[in-house]
Amino acid sequence: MITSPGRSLCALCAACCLWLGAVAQSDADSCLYRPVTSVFMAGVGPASSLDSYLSDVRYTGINASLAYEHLQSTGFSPRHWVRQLYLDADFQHTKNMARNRVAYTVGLSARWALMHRWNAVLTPGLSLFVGGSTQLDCRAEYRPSNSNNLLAVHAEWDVGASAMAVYNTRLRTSPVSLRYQADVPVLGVLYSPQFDESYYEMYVGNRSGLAHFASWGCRFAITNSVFADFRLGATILRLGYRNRYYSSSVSHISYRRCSHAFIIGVGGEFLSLRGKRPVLNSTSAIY
Amino acid sequence: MLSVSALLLLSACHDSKEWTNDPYGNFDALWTIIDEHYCFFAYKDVDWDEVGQKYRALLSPNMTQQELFDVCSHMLMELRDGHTNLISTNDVSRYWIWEQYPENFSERLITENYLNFDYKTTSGIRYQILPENIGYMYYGSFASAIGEGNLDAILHYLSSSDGLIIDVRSNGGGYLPHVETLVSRFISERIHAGAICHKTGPGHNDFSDPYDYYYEPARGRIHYTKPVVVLANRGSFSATNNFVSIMKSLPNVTVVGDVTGGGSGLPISNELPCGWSVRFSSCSITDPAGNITEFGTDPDVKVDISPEDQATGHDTILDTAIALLSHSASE
Repeated sequence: MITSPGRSLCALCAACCLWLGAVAQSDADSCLYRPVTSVFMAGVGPASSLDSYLSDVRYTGINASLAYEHLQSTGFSPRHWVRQLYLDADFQHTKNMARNRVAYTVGLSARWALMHRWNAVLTPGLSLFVGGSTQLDCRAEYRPSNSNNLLAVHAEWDVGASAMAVYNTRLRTSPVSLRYQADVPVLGVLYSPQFDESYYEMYVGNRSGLAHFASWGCRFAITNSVFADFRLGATILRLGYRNRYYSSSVSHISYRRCSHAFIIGVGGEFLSLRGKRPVLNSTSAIY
Repeated sequence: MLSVSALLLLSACHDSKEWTNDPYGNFDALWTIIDEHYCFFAYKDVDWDEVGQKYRALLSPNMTQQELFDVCSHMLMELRDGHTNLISTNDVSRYWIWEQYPENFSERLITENYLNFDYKTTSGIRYQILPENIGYMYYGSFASAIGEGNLDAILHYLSSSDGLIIDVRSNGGGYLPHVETLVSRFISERIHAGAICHKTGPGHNDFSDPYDYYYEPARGRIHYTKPVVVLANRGSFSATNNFVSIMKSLPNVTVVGDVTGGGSGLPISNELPCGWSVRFSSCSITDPAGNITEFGTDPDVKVDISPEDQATGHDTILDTAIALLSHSASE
């Protein structure tokens, strides 16, 4: 027996299946190749952090990062859906306001996004992408001059929203893509010690209450990226800027960090032919 | 535009305190840090609001850094806590009350008159078997890492002795995991080592439930099972106080000497806008019986070094320990 809410759910699932099937059908006949846009990036810029677990003083300094981006149209409905993988490792060297104490931060993050694409929005070269993403972010800040609170570890897994606008144009004869992307985690789980809980207490076995539900009520984060991709044949030269902002208040611990990075990257669009067929038709992820 | 708006709206929900870098801003930062994080207000019956008013009245806009440091230092003295320090570029404020008690220890006296300058040393531990066939080891700092292999070598060498003296006088503390490393060689089964609780919020009574923690015997390692005497003095502070309080709870261990210096709080650090840092107790650790030992652990046998003994090259506390162990060996 199916209850009334059950019927509604079935109807919704059926509608989704029909829609996906229709979309898949519309693209299946084109047998599209899906080149991979792959770019390695390096970034450097100013950064700041304030973590009240370590101290109530803001630290400022420099952040350097290495990142890799992988973009490709999806196997299903390749003209309308794009997936993105973004891997990032960063190192931060900061000092307090009096410049007499130092902090070192190492961070690793990975984000995977699936976005729907709308082409020729308002103007022929403009495409909009909106979708969901999931992200894992881990970082540790070390302050050698502190006592038993010399390390703060942050780890978080989120699901959120990603959106980008891409404008494809030409600079003289070379194609150029201008892109803005925003990524905002919405819900997730984060690790945080309690207010003054020491890592020694965790070491002797008290590891309860370290996982917290993350939402906009206790945490807000956003990554803004602006890229200009200059395409020289299959090679991509990327120049850009990325801003990351993170703010949380969990267990009475305030944590804020902000970084600005000027990005330079190099990569290309790669196509796997698998030695079978000549390229008849292809769809780039964002170009 | 949407991103910027969201950033401004949502980040504004998360407060963070920032203070001005002037005498009032630095003083208020220090007072607030202690107010929100210090763990012994109730135990020591300190009215921190009253303390703050008393010392804030001494501030002036044009006071020098040294004058501000002195006011802040005197305010921190009200906590009567050896773990509380204000650290500037040219000074460290401290409540080292043990400096005012009899020292009850002379390393030179022992090295010259008991060890005859003939001893072994590893992992920061000096050790030798005394003529009375009593083992002696001096551990001067729990900041010195103790290697398990080194400890095996020490205890193997001392295994033929009739009893062991562990001298931790004037050991100002260090790392708590080293306490476990050492204690685990003197237990044959899992023991209750104490309980730890931390602040869960800025209120003076915001504490977690005490968490009981346990030590396991060192598996596959050399143990010492004969009678042990631990020597302590007022300079046995912090992790050393923790070590003495745990060893005291063991059935074959006697603590001889003076009351330890205490320091049962786990200190953390914070900073002021001017660049000074402050260290203070934020988590309380009790002894195995559940007592707060912030003001020290009493010895089983209270002994001071008498001036007469010291003048003739004798350590009264060490002599008492040797007599105790020799007596138990002869029984």
